[in-house]
Amino acid sequence: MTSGRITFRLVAPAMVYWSFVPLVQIASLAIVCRNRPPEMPFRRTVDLFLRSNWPLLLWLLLFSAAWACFPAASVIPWWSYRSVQFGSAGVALAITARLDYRFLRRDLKRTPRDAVLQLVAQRLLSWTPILLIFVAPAAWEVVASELGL
Amino acid sequence: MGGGRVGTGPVTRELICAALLLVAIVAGTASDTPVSKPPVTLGGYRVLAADFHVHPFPLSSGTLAPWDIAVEARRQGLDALAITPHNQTWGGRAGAWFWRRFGGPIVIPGEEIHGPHFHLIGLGIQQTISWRLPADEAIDEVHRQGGVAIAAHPTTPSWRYWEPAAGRLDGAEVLQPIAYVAPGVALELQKFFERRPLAAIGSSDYHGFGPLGLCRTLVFVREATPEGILEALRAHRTVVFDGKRAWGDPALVPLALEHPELAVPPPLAPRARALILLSRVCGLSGLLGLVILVATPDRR
Repeated sequence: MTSGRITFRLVAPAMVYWSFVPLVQIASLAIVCRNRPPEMPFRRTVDLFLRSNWPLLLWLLLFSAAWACFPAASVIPWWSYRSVQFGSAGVALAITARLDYRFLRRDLKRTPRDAVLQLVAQRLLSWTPILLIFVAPAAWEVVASELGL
Repeated sequence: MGGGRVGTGPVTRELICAALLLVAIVAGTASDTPVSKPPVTLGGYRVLAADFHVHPFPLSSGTLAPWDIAVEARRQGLDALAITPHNQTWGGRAGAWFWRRFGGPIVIPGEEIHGPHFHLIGLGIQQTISWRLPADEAIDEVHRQGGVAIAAHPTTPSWRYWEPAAGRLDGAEVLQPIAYVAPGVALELQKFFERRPLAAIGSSDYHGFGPLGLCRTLVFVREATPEGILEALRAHRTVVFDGKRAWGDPALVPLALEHPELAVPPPLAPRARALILLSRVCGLSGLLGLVILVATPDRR
């Protein structure tokens, strides 16, 4: 998105910085899914769980392709529509949640109620630190202003 | 996310994706050479291409660390930049340290004071300024630290919060990516700028989307140092143009318009353009292939 190409100079450090995302996801999974069936070792659990990230990866890839392949001045007008940004992200997040629910039900043998609770817990445990690392100071201003703190 | 083989032949789909990504990285890296840009002097001033609104990773919704931004700025033909995290200054100070240690484009520390009613860029400051301050007090605090105060994307909803303080501003963004959203938004930025004497500022408000320096400011400096840039901004010796219109110091605008190449990144050689295209096509194909492999139901 920045340079319209894939360079070692940008890829290598970005991989290191952004590795906190899967690490946080794995940590939250370890907390939420402590009781697993005997045939489901943690390594296999992580492998299956992370695969359900594909809708988000596809979403990121499509936006990256748009920024890389078209002039910025022509991408910005439709990118600025919140319905495009948040609507498409919402669809990707919903599909991911559906896949994770199915994983919890089918592979980890959770009841429907437990699957929903663990899904919500995993999201809270993972997305809270991820968002804090990404946008904490501005997010705090928005929250504090809204709440009058 | 490894797993068993999917393909039936000796060359699996995973290997094809990996090969595409390898070609993308090799081609992209081969095209990634620093651009040579001779110094430009106009009207007795050295002219610097600058981007004064750049967000780093982490804690500022940016994707690149300050040192990566400094290196990328050089590739985009920028002579100076300000790293301006939301409501903090660490990213700018880190970038400035990198510049002093390794050279490259001049890095000025700064902050985007991200309040509920207005956003203010403080350039050349070291200490964080609270977003809770009203505009006039925030601007005074920027000046107390020896910095320069720039109104960031001053669209209509923020105008009434600027009113008591607008006379104290040093500059305002007259061109930045939101100007491409709709003609009306571009007009709002221009109206704010034209209502009072200010340094014209073009900034990319870089968060990782689009190129660094997408919009840039031409600064006419007496000396190419952070202090020289801040002095030029205080004296309003800047020009911004978008290919059609120009804003800034009336005496300097004609000089800048004679050199439209100053407002855009240096041109790439045909070989570099071909390598970039190859990197882009192979990279997107390889990544799409990986996503499809991960999503393939029979792999679950």
